Amino acid sequence: MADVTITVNGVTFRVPAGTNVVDAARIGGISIPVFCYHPRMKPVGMCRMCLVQVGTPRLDPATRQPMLGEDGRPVIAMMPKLQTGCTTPVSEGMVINTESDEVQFAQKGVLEFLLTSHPLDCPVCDKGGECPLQNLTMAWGPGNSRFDYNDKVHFEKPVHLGDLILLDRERCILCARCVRFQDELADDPVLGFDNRGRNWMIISKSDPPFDSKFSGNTTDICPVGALTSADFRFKARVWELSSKPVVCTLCPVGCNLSLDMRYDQLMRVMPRENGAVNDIWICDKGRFGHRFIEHESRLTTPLIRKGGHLVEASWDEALALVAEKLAAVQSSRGGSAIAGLASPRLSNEDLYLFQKLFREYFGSHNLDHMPGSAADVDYDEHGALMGVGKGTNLMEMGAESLVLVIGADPEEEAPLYVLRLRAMLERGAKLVVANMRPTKLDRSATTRLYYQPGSELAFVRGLLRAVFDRVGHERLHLKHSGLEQLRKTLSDLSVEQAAELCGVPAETIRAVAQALLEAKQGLIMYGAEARSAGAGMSESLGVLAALTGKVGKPGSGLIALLPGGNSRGALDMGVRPDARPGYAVLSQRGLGAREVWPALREGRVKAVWIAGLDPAAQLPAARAALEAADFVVVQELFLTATAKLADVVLPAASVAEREGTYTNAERRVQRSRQARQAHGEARPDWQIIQGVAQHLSELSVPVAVPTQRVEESSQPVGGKGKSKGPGKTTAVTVAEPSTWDYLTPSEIAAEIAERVPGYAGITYSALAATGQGGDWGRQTNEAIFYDGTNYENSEGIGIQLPNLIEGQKTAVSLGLRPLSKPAHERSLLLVSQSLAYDGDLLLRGSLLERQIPQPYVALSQTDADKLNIKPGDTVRLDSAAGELTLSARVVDDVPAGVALIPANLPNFSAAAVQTGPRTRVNLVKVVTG
Amino acid sequence: MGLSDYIIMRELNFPDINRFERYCQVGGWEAYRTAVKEQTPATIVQMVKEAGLRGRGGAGFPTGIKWSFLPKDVFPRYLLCNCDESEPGTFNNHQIIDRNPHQLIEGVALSAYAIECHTAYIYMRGEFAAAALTLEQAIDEAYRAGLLGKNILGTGYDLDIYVHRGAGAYICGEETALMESLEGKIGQPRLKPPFPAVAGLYGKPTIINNVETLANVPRIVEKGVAWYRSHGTEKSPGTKCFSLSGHVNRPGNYELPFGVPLRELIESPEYGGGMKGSRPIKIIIPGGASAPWLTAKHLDVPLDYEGVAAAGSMLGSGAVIVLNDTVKAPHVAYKMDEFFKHESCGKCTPCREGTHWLVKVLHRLAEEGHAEPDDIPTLHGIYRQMAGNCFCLLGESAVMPIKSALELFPEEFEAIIKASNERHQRNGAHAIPLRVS
Amino acid sequence: MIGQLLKGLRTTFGYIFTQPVTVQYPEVKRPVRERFRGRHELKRFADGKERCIGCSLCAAACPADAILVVPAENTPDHQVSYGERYAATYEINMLRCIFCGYCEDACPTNAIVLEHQYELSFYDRRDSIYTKEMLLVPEDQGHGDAPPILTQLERRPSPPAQIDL
Repeated sequence: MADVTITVNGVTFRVPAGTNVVDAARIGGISIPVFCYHPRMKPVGMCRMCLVQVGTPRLDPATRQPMLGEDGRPVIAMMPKLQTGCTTPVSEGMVINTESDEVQFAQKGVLEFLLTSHPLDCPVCDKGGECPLQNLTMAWGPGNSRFDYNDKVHFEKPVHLGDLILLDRERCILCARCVRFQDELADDPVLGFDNRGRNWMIISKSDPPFDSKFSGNTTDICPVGALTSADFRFKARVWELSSKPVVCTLCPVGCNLSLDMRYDQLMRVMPRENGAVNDIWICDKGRFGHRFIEHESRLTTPLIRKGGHLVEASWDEALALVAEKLAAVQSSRGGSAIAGLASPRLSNEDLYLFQKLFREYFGSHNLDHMPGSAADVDYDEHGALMGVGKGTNLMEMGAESLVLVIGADPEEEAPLYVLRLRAMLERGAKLVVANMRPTKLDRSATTRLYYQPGSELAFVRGLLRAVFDRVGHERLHLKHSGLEQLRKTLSDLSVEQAAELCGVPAETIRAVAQALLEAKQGLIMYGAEARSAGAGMSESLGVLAALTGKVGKPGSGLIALLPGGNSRGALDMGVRPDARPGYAVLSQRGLGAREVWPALREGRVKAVWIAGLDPAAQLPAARAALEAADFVVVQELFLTATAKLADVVLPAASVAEREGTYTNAERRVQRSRQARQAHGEARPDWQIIQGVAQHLSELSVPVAVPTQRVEESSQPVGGKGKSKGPGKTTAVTVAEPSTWDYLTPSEIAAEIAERVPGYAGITYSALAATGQGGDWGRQTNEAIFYDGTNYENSEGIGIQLPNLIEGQKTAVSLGLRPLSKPAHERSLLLVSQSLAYDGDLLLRGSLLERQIPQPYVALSQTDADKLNIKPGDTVRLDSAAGELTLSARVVDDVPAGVALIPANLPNFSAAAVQTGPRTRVNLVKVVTG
Repeated sequence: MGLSDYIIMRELNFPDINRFERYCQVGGWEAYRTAVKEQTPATIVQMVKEAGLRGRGGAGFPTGIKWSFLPKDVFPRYLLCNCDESEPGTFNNHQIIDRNPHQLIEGVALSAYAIECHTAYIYMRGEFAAAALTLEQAIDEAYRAGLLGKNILGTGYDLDIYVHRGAGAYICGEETALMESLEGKIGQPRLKPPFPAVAGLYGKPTIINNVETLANVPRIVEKGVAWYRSHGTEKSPGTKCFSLSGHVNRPGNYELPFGVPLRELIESPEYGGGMKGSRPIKIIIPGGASAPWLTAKHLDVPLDYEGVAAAGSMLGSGAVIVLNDTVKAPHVAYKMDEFFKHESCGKCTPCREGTHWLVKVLHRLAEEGHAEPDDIPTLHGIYRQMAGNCFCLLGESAVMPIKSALELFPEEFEAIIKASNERHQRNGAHAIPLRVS
Repeated sequence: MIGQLLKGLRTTFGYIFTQPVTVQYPEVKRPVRERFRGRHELKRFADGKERCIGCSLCAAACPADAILVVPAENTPDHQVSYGERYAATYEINMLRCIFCGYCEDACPTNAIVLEHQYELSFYDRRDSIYTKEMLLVPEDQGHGDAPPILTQLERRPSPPAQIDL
C-alpha cells in the first residue's frame, strides 16, 4: 500500500497507509501507551489508554485539496475529542499530538482509574517485573493515588479458568486480550464475559474449562498478572530468570522456545519470536510439556545388566562393553546382525552419527526411526522432494495463496499450524480442509470436504484427474518423467468415478482443482491419517503439486506432518534401511524396524541399539524380540519398558542439556542451545555414539565397507522401480573413515553440510547469523512494549532447506501406483487418531498428564445404533491380527464406518489388532457400561 | 396552548384504540396502504426529509438524512425500532405502545417501506413484558389483515416485523449495543466507524430509530409536509411527547409542539399544574438523567433542541424532571450516578472505574455525611477524566449529574465537608476511615 | 636523672589509675548503636504469621547477591503468611553479605531487619549460609499486628469461572 506522510509531535515521517496511529507513531519512535491493543489482534479501543489528539488537513469543499493557511501550510482541523490511537487509521497529512496537556491528563486519568481497582500487590504478583501496567504507570501514570485503599474491590482468588490457567479477578483490567486471542487467533472461543460494569469478569464457557491447546499464550499477552499459569505460579521472579534459546522437539513445527532458568532449574517455557515458525506463540504442549527435563525418574548413570539386574556403571565401562559386544556380533555374524533404531526426537547430529556408525563400522543398513509397529506408515519422501520451496514464510503469505489440508488434524499433530493457517486466512488466503472426519480446523476453512473413510486416495486421484483435464501438458515444463504413465493411470479413473468412490461431489473436486490452479501460491499439508493410506498418498499429492505448478518456489509445496520433532531430520539423515542421507536409494535395503523384531526372534539379528524409542511399551512383538536378543543397548532419558530389557542402558541428555539442530516440517533447520547442565552423568546422544565408535576403533575393528556402495545412485526415491537411464554419479560420497574426534556438535554439522545433499551451507555459524532482513525476518523486540514479556530472538531463525527438486535439479517421476480397491471383509475401519496429549514420554511430569485420555474407541451414532452400543459399554474389536477390549464412546464427529482410537496412549496398545496402518475390524459389545 | 390534533399521541383516548378495527376507524393504516400501493419509497424519504422530522431518541438527528445514508443497492438491510426506554424519567414510548401499538407498527412498516427493507425488529426493554404482548397481538392483527408478511396488498412488497425483548440493560438502548444484544451477544457498544447505516445488524446496513420518531411517520405521510411543519418551530418541527415527573402536581406524558416554554409545561393547569405545595423549583433536568441540570431561572427556555442547547443542557428524550428545594444536590447526583454505575457495561475503563469511584465518594458524602477536605477537587478530577474519554455516551452521561451539581450547588458540598470536619474535631477521632499509608 | 626518668614515665603513671578502655571481649560484649546493622532476622506478626511474603525484592536489591528466596503458594491449610505467597526457602550467605541494609530497605513488609547480633564466624564455608529456620524469630517473639488491609479483607466470593451450559 502507498505510504502517507504524518506528523507526530512535530516530527514528520512516512508510514504505510492503513496503519493505525499507535503503530504509525512507533514507526517514528514515539510510544503511545496501550493495554487492550495488541499488534496481532484487531483493535477494539476499550482501555482508552491510547487517547491522542488527531487532526487532519481541512479540505477545500470545492477542490478536495487541503486548504493552506497564511503561512502556506495546510490548515489542520483537530478533532474535538481525543481519539483512541489504536482504532484510528492514519491518513495523508494527519497531525497527531501525544504530548499535549490534554492527552497527558487523559492518559494519567485512565491509569488512575485502572489502578483504583487494582490490588497493587506487585510484590507477590508473578507478572511483576514484566508488567505493562507497572511499566506504563511508571512512564505515564500519576505519582500518587487519590483512591481510598479501603474502597478497593475484593474477590475470592484465584479462580481456576482451567487446569492450567488461573485468574486473579482483582488484578484483571478487563482488556479482553485473552478473550480476543481465543476468539480471533486460536478459534477456541472458550473464554467470555459475564456480568457487567465493575463486576464484568472473564469466565470459561467450555467443558472441560478453558479447553484450548493455546491457553498458555493468554498469560503472555495479559498486560497484568491476572492470568497466571499453574506451571509457573509463584515459582520465581522474572528478573531472576535467564532465557536459554531452545527448539521444541515435541511436534514437527519446531517452535522457538526460551527456557527460562533460575540457576540450573527450569522455571517456565516462553515463546521466542520467529516469524517464519511460530511468531510469538507456542502451544500448551510446548509450554507445559517440558517438565520431563527435571523429572526425578531421569536416568543419571549408565546401567549394565549384571546377574539379571541393571546396576550402575561408569561410562567407560558401559561404552567399552557396548563396543566389545557389538564388535563380537559383527565379527561372528556380520554387520547385518546388528540393528539400530533412533528416535525422531534426536537432533540431526545424533541421527547422522548414528547412521554413520552403523554404515561405516558395522556395514549395516538395519536402521529405522520408527518403533516397528504394524501401524508404522511408509517413509515420507515427497515431503522433502516436493517440500515447500526455500523462502516460504507463512507470515508473509495471504491473499492469492491456498492451503489444502488433507488427512490431517493440525490441532493435534502440530498445534501451532492452526494459528499460522488462521493468520494466513486473516490476510486473505483460502483454506481447503479435506478429511474423513470433522476437525477443529474445519471451522476456519473456506471449503471443507469429507471423503468416505479410507477413500482419500480416490479423492486425490479425482483432484489430479480434474487438474490434468484442465492443464493437459502445458504446465509440465518441469523436467518430470513418467508423464505418459501418469496419463495412463489417470485415464483409468474419471472425476465422476473418483467422486463416487470418495463421496465428494465431482463439481466440488473440480472447484478445488480450479482453486488450486488459480492460486499463486499453494501449500498442501497432510498428516497422519493421510499418510496411513500408504506411500501412494504422498506420491499423489506430490504429483498434484507438480501438476498445479505448486512446487519449487517460495510459498508452494508439500508440508508433511510427521510424528516427533525431527522425523524430517531422521529421513534426511538416512536413518532408514533403504536410503542413505539425502534420500539416496540403496539398491539392497537393510531391515526396517518392522522386520527387525521377527529377525531378532529368529536369530538373524543378534544385537540391537535403540536410541530414544520405546517399542517394548507398545508392541508385544518387540518385547518378545528384545527378550530373545543377544545384546540390547538403549540410550534413553528414562528407564522405559524397553530400557528395562536392555543389557546396557546409557543415560542421554535431553534437548535442554545439549546443542543440536532440528529440521521441522517446513524443512527449516534450527539450532537449539544448551540451557542447563547435564542431568547426572547423562551425555548428549552424539557423544555416546562417538564414545562407542572410539572404543570400537580401540578394539581395532576393521571398518566394514557396505557392499551396496558401488550401485548407489542419486535418484530420488520417487521414481522407484522405473527405469530412468543411468543415474548420475553419486552425490553421497562415502568418505574415508573418520577419526571420530568431534569436539562439538558444530563439527558434525559441518560434516553434514558437506556430505548431505540439501544441507550445504547449514553450519552453526550460518544458523546463528543475526541481523535484519533476508532470512532473518521481522525480529524486532517490539512485543515487550505491548506484553511486557520479552520474546526477543537473538539466536537466528534457522535456515530453510531447498527442496530436493530445487537443490539437485533432478527430475521426479510422475508415475503413480495403481489405485487398489479396499477390501471390506470387516465392517469398520480402525483409525488411530494422533493426539497432542498422548503417551509421549516427554510429557512426563507435566500438568498435561492429567489431560491424557483413557483408552477408548469412538463410534458414530449410526454404527452405535446398528451394533446396539451405548456410550460406556465395553466392546471387543477383532481383526485379522487379534482382539482388543475397550470402552466405547459415541461421538458426533466420527463418520459412519470408522472406529476411532487414540494413538500412542500410555499403557495401552492397539498392536494386538493392527494389521497395518489401516486395519479393518469388527466390533462386538461385551459388557453394558 | 393546547394541541387540537395530536401527532404522536393521537386518538389516545379513543376506546380500544389498541385494536386493529378501532385504529382503522380513525384512519389508521390508511397512510401505509396508500404508500405501498401508490408511492415510491423515495417519495416517502423525501417527505420525511422535507418535514424535518428529527430523531426523538435524544440526539435530534434529522431522520430523513439518516435514512439517506444507507448505501445504495446493498441488501439485505434492516430497520430497528429502539424501544429500550430505560433512561430515568422517560416513559413515553411505553405509553405509545401500550395504548396505541398500531400507530408504531404502521410507522415501522412505512419506514421499512421507505428504506426498502424487508425485516424490521422492535427491540423492547426487557421489563416491558405487557407492552410487548400488546405489540405482538397488534402485529398479528396486521399480519392477518395482509398488511405485513409476503406480497403485501398484492404489491409484491414483503415485510416481517419481529419483537425482541432485551434482558434489562440500559446500555442496550445505545444503537450498537442494541444490535449486539439482538445478535445474541453481550450488550456492549461496538466500535464506530463503521456506522450502523453502513454495517449494522449482522454486518448489514441498518437504520435505527426511536419509537416516538417512527410514530410520527404515518401522520407525515397521511397529512403532508406542510401540515406537519405547521407544528413546532422552524428547526424543530412537529410535536414532542414530554414525560414530566418530579415534584409537580400532574406528572405524566404531555404532547406539546416544540418551542413551548418550559414554564408552560410545568405550570399550565393543562399539563404540570405547578409545583406541589407551591415550593420553589430547585433543579430542572430537561432531558432525562443524562442531561445537564437547569434551574428556576431557565423557566422561559423554549422546549426545542436549539433552545435547550442554548441554555446549556439538552432536550434528550424529553423527560423533564422537576425537583423542589427539599432535595439536596449531592444526593440527587449520587442517585443518578448510582444508576449509571449500575448500568455501566464495563467495556471501557473511564466509565467502568469512573462511575464506580464517583459513587463510592458520593455515597460517603451524600449518604453517610463523611467527607474529606479534598473531596471537591477529587470529584472534579474524576468527572473530567471521564468526560470525552469514554467508549460510548453512557460514560459521558454519567458526568452530567455530578458536574451540574458541583457547578450549580458547590455550597452544598462545602457544607457537608465543613460539617464532617467539625464532627471529626468534636469527636477527637477519625470520623472517616483511616487512610492506610 | 630520676627526674628525667619520671618525666619520661609521666604519661604511663598517669594512666595507671584510670579505668582501662579495652573491652574484655568475648567476656564482655560491646554494646552497639540502635541503628547498628548486624545479623538479619526474619520477623513475624504478633499472631505468629511470617511477615515475609517471598517477593524476592531483598534478593533483587542485594548488591552482593547473598540472598536466595524460593517462593511458594499459601494454601488454606498451610497459611504461612498473609496473602498468597510465602518464602519456602530463605537463605543468606553471610560470607557474601556486606551488611549494607538494602534488603531491609527493599522489604515491603518490614520482614527482614538487620539486628544487633554481630558474632558471625564459622569453621566451614557451608555454615555461612543462614537458612530460614535460623533467621526466623521464634513464634512467640512476633510483634506488631498485621495491618487491617491484610487481615480484614472482605473478599466477595467470585462466581464460578465456568458457566453452566
